[in-house]
Order: sequence, then C-alpha cells, then structure tokens
Amino acid sequence: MNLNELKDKLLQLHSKSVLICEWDAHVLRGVVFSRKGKKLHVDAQAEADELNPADSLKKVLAELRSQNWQGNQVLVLTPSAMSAMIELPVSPKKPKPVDQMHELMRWEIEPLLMQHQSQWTLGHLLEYHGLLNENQVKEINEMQKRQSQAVGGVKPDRQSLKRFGELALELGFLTRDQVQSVFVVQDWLRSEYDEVMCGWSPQGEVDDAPGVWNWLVTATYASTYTLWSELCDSFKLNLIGLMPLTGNSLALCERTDKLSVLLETTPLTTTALRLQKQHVTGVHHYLNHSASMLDACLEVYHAENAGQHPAVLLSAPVENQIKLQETLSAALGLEVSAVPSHNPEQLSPGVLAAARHFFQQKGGKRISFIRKGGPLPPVWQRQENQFSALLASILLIIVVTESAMFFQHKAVTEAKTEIDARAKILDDAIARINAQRAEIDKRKAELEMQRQNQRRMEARLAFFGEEMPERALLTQAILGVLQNTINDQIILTRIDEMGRRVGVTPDTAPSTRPGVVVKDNFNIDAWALTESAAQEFVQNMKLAVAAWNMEVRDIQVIEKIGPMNMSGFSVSMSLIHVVAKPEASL
Amino acid sequence: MKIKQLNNKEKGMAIAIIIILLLGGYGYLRFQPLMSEVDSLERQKQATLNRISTMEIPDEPQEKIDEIIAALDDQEKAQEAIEDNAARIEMQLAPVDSQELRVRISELARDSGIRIRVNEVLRQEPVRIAPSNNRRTTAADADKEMNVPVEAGWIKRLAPGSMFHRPLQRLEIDGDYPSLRRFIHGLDDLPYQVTVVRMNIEKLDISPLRGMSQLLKTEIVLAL
Repeated sequence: MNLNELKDKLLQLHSKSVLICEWDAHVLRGVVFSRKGKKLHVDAQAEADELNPADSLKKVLAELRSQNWQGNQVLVLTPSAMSAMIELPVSPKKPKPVDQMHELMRWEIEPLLMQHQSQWTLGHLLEYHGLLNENQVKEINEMQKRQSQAVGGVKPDRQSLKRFGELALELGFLTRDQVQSVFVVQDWLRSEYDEVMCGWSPQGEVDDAPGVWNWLVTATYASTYTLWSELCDSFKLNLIGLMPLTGNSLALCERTDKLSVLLETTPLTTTALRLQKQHVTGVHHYLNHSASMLDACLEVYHAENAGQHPAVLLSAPVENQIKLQETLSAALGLEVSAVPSHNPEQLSPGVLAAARHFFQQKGGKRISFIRKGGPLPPVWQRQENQFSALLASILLIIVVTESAMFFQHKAVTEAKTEIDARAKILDDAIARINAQRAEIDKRKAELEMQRQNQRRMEARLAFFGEEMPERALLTQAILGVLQNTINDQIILTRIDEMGRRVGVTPDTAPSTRPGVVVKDNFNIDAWALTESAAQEFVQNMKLAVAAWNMEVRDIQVIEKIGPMNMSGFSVSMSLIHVVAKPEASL
Repeated sequence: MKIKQLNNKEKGMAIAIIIILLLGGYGYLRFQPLMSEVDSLERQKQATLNRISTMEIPDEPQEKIDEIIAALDDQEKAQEAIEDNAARIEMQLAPVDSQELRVRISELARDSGIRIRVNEVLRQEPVRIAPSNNRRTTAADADKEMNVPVEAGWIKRLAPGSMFHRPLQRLEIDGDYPSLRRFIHGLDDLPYQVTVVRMNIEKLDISPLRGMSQLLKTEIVLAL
C-alpha cells in the first residue's frame, strides 16, 4: 500500500458516501453521493438495463467500483414501494413509541399497499417493456374475460382458465423466454402478502380535524425488502432502506406556495402530491400503463385538483423535463415550475431527493424511507445515543475529575518535593553542623581528659615529688627546732597533730588568711619554770619556724603546777604551716 | 426482557443505577484513594513546613577542629614529658602491701632504739566526691579519683579514693627524743619513700632514771 492508497482509504473513512439506486422496472441507475461541506457531490454514476435488477446491480456496481467507489451503503428507489397520506391522531411533537406507530401505520396502509402491488400485472409489464402493444394487451384481456364468463349458467373451473402469459404464447405474441424474463421483473415488484414495513414523516395538522395529523407514509412488504437486502448482501453491500420510485421530489421543493401540486413522473409511475404551504395534504399514485407522461400528469393533476388553481410543480426525468414542462403548461394553461429548479448534474429528481434525505439536508426530512425497525426516532431519543450520551457524560465527569485531581496531585507533589528539598538542605546543614560540633566536643573532651590526666599527673608529681619530701623535712625540722629551743627551764610535755585547739581566750587572729590554707598544724605543750622562760620559748619558736613559712598561733602561757609540785607556767602554742590555696581542684 | 420494553420510569431508574454504580465505583476505587493520597501528601507537606518553620539551626562552631587537634598533639607531647618525671617519682613509691618495707621500718626502729608497741595498717574511710545539688553522682564520678584539698589533712588526702592514695601504717612507739629523731631521719634512707604524716608525741608520766633521757610515747602514721 503506497501513500496515495492510504490517503484514499483515510478519506473514505472520513467522508461518508452512499449509493442510491433507482430502478424503474427497466433501467437501474446508480449514483454515488458524498457530502463536501454543505453540498452534495456526485462521486460516480452508472446504469444498466438488464431485465433482472440483480444483473443490472452487478453491472452498475462493477462500473462504480471501476470509478473507485469503495463504500457499501445502498439506498434503493423501487416501484414496489409506495407512499400514502394517512391521518392519525398522533402529534409529531409527542409521537408514540416506534412499535406502536408501526402498528398504526400498517393498519392504515396495508389495503393501499395491497392495491398498489396488484397493479403490477404481466400485461402491464409486457406493454411497458414494449413486448406487447396496447391492442394486443386488450385482446388478451378480452379473451380472459370471455373465458371467465359463465357458459350455460355454469362458471368455468378457475384451474381451467388460461392465464395472460399462456394466452400470449398461444396467440404467438411472445416467446416463452420473453414471458419468463418479464416474470422475473414481476417478482421484484409483487410480493406475497406478508408483513408490511413502513417509514413515515410528519406533515401538518388536518385542517378540519384538530388533533389529527397527516403522516406521509412509505411502505412495502417485508419480502420485497428481504429480496433487495439479500441482493445487496450478495455484493457485500449494506441496504439502508427502500424508497418509492416517485413521490420523493417533495424533498427538492425549496419554495411552496399556499397551495400547490407537485407532479412527479417517470415512464412507469406518476405521483401527485398536494401541498399546502410546507406540508403534504394528499398523495395520488398513477400507473402510467400505455399513457404518456404528459397524460399521466394530466390524469393525476385532475384527480388531485380541488377546483382551485394551485401552483403546479413538475418533476420529471431530465431528458423529458423541459418538453414536458412546456406541453403541460400549455395543456393546463398554467405556469409549471420545474423541480428541482437547479440540476447541473442532470440527475433523476428521485435520486437527488433520496440523497438529500440521506444526508439530512434542507427538505430531506419531509420524506422518509423504509428501513428495518421503522424510522429512527429523533437523535436524542435513540437509545444508543442516550446510552452514548450517558457514557460520554460520565466519561466527561471522570475526565474533568481526573484532570482536576491530576493537577491537584501534581501541584501538591511539586510543592512537597520543593519543601522536602528545602528540608533536606536544612537537615543536611544541621547534621553537618552537629557532626562538626560532636567532633569538636569529642576532641575537646579528649583534650579535657588529657588535661585532667596531665593535671592529675602534675598533681601526683607535685604531691609525691615535692609535698611529701617537704613534709618529711618539715617533721624533721620541727623535731630539730624543738631540740634547739628547749633549755633547762622548759619541759616539753606534748606534741600532736590533732587539729587546732581552742584556748581559754580565743585568738583574735583569723585562722587563715584569704587565699591560704593550713597544711600542717603542730600543737605543742610545754612547762616553763618562769613566765619569762615561757615567753622566751615562744619567742624562740617563732623565730625558728619562720624560716619554714610557719606561724605560731594560739599562744597561751598559764600558771600551772609542774612536775614535783613545782610552780611554773604551762605554755601551749600551735605551729601553723600555711600554703597558698590551689587555684582549682581536679 | 429487552431494553425497548422498559418504560421511561424504568429506564430512568436503570440509568440512575448505572450512574450510581459507575460513579460510585469510580469514586470508591479511584477518586477516594487518590484524594486520600493527595491529603496525605498535603499533610506531609504541612508537617515538613511546620518542622522547617520551627527548626533551630545551630550556629557554626567557632572552634576549628584542626586547632583542637593541634592542641591535643601539643598536650600529648607535654604529657609525655610529665609522664617521664612521674615514672621516676613513682619508682620511689613502694608497691602496695609491701611487707619488705614494713620489715625495713621495723629494723630501722630497732636500730634507732625505738620500741614499737603497735604496728598496724591504718584503714581509712574512702573519700568520695560529695554529691552536688545540681547534678547526680554518676558511676563515673564514683570511680573517679578525688583530689582531696590540702585543708582536709594528710591522712584524708592519702585515703582510698584520693588520687594520692597510699597505704598508711600506724605505729605506737616508745623511745627517747634522740631515738625518735634518728628513726624519723632514718626513714629517708629507706629504699622507698616513707613519710610521717601524723605525729603525736607525749611525755610518759614515768620520770626517767637519773642520767637517762625522758621516755616519750609517740604515735606516728607513715605513708608508705
């Protein structure tokens, strides 16, 4: 598949096209329409004049395929379908359900359809195809009448009566093959009486019957529909519906006067539609038989004319349109307008009207086609559309909600990410600072511990290296000083280190000076023969211990009986060794 | 039953049920969890925001780690020098419970003319760090050796628990003054450092024989 083919396929998918087939029991014309903007466009067209419409469709389809039509939608205009005007007490604004409408339509139109189909006689079709002339048909009909008349008061047996075809063969008007070929055409026009299928479009309210409305109904038998449907299926086409051969030009009327008659004619049938303003008020079908289209038009015109002088609209095959318009105008003495007024593609009015209806263009809704299940209800009333609308609404709600949640989620996530990033930066900074502080604290602790160890070692060093030897020396010094200061008048009675004593009169001097502490305290008790000896002893002690940074305190000299009851004086003092108070203790 | 057979009321109910089911399912399975997630994110964001707003950022330490490390190194070098001196001093201290030193002290007393009446180990109550009102005494504090102040006296400073702890030996000796001096001076000549940390000398009531020195009753406490 190259690019052009792909492009064509995409365009086909995008642009919807429809094949409208018009079969007038002789020629089958196929026109493919598509919509380009607001205008209809003819994509392809072909025709075939086989007696069997199946053969004709085959040929037309082959021709259309050769013109590059790839669609499969088909709408068929056939004489076997008919249209009629039915009055029903149903307002178009409040139509009944489709099934109910179908029943009402069927009930009314079935006799008309039966009558319509009974017109497709073999004689009429043979005459239409030019196999018999009018006189030959009349002769055979006369023979049939004579056969059916009672002979001697006894009616002949129905089985013994010869049929039209047999009489035509006997008379040598036709060959058997010719009769058989027309039978095939008749099969496509007449059907067994079975279920009626309808399509309808509302018209105006009936003038003299309020609440009753005109409905333009199209109808055919289900067997006819099935016949066309199976034919389309065999060509893989999708039959959209059937429409009558005539009576569709209503969709082409762009302007209607207050009262007008639309005459739509083909070589096979003619239909007159009486129009009042925009609405159809009457329909009359006429089978042309041997009559010309002009005669047929005059016939139906007079059948529909209510004595007034309506405007006359004419819709005819393009090749006959102008001439017929002139002759009809001359015959009626009225101006006859052409419908459609503008037909550059020279298309059949029925085909053009069907296309308008299919693509729902202006006027298209005034007619209807026959489809399975009846006409479609208004778009918004179709269940699939309602369901789709419901789903679409729910989907829209979900999409809107999802979008809102997405943006909300995104906004919150972005904000959180940003704040988390800021928090992480701060956390990292704090952790870094704390780690630094911890490291510094640890090092400081180590340093402090080392300092403590150092101070401890220094203290031990000072204690054991300095203080203890100094103490030993001090002890020896005290003993030496005492030995030197004691003379014959002094008896040393006691030396102790049991703490400072309180004498009879407390020493006025403070125990220690600020910033110094007492390290050693030797209490000395002695006895002197005389008071002067005692004082001399104190004096000598003061002088001796001063060299050792010691002070003499708490001196007491008291008269006291000494050894051998000798009178004398008791001397007591404290030798205080003070040192500077250490600045800090460990 | 086909859908077409339903009347408008029934169709309306069916549509309502479908809407409720669809929207309910969507709300329960999708909307609610996602909104919960959004709420959760919002709460986390607010919590983080609150944490940030109340966060106290410590000041950058003024000290430089390198300076402290350098100080540590200097300290170590200084300590090594002190340790050398300390080791030398420690060598002069007798081993704990050194019986040899006690023997040498007894010999010194005998040689000095001193009669030892009591020679016993002076057991001291261990010193402890006094509990503070502001902080509890920890196990580490209990194990820490105390620097007993000078004013507490020599014996307290040498008690167990003190960083200057040494074994103490209490002696009650009798002898005259020269003997006592000889004994105390003789302590310097012992192989280990022995120091008199308490000395109480008292004259005996017994008068000496004529020509003899007065006998003294002495209690001394030696730090070994």
